[in-house]
Amino acid sequence: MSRILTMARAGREALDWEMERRDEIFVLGEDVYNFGGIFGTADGFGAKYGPERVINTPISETGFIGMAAGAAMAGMHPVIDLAYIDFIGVCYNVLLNTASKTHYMSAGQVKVPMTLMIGTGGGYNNAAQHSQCLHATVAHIPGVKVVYPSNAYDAKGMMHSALRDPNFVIYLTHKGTAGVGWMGTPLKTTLSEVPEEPYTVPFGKIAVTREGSDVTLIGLGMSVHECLKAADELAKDGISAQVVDLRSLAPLDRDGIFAAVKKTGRMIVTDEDYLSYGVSGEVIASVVERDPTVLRAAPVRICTPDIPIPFARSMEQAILPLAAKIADAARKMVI
Amino acid sequence: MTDVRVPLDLWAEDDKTGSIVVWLYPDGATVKEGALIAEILVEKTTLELYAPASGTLKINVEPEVVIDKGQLVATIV
Repeated sequence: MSRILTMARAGREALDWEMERRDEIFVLGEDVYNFGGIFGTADGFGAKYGPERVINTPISETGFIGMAAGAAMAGMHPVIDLAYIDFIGVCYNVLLNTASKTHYMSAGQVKVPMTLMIGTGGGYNNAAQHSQCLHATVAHIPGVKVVYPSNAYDAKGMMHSALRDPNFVIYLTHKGTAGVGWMGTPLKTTLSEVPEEPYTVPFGKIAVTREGSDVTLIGLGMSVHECLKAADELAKDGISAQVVDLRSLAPLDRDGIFAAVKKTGRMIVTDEDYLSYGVSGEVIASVVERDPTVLRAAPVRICTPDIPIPFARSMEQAILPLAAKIADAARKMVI
Repeated sequence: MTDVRVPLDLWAEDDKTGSIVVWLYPDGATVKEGALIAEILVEKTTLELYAPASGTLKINVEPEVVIDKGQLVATIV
């Protein structure tokens, strides 16, 4: 039987199911034991699994992510809750050189089964050090898988996949999509019917979230939902927009992206991460490197500009890649 | 018909109110007794509302509306 779940609840259900059956899995992070994770990743786990499997850490990411990588190499499967990707800087050596490289450097002899859950993004006025996306910054590292569910069905299936992966997976969730109560009423398009039984969603496949024929709107995380809103607006003007959810950054489904864009001949890539050196450029390159003649118009990027995220609501709203901007770009392109 | 009310002991303080964050089943869905049917937010804490009976859920109160302990929020027929 399926129910409608929020992303936080769906991901947590998969983690709970695997923890019940596999003693090697443990959770660590700030505020996971008493509070259940800032974004509800481990709600209730402290009471259920106890302090040895749900470990509250001090505010010392450098230490606990290194501890996790060591535990993974020794046969455990740590699941780290790093609530804000803005804190990734102090984790970076382990990500860059240890967790992502040890499998290769040991000629496959040492695996690093470790799942790093990270919240991304802004839109709720948390200023420049708690609102960044930075997903390109982690997707750039060879040796790590980076996945980015944007709805509850994928959140559960991708969490099962991450926990069964023999190596390092970064599992990103845009904070505004998680559906935790204190962030407000969940976005309707993040909620989905989720089967009670476990299932996996494989990494490296895009999803066509909405069919359309005039223009392809490509998003990830929160920007998928802005694309869906834009597609609703465009439909009123008689423009049929296809919406693509990337779902996975590494591996990236370049074949799927190309096939989707080829269908409409027009592409708009939306990304709440910074414009420059990011996923949006990579997605466009995936198409034009293969065959630029499938495009009937120059590709467009709607992203966050390369500036610190403003705190003031009016200013933050002005820079985010919201539906109105996406729809405007699509109208100009389709004319 | 069974009333779905916010349990009187769902939170301790009498002077606090809450709101429904999300209904986990749509209006008219079939629910089973004991199923989690809604999340309720009180300050920053998310609490859970369970179905008191099996049947068809009829929702009376939408999310983001202030609710109190004991309030009728749905019925199950």
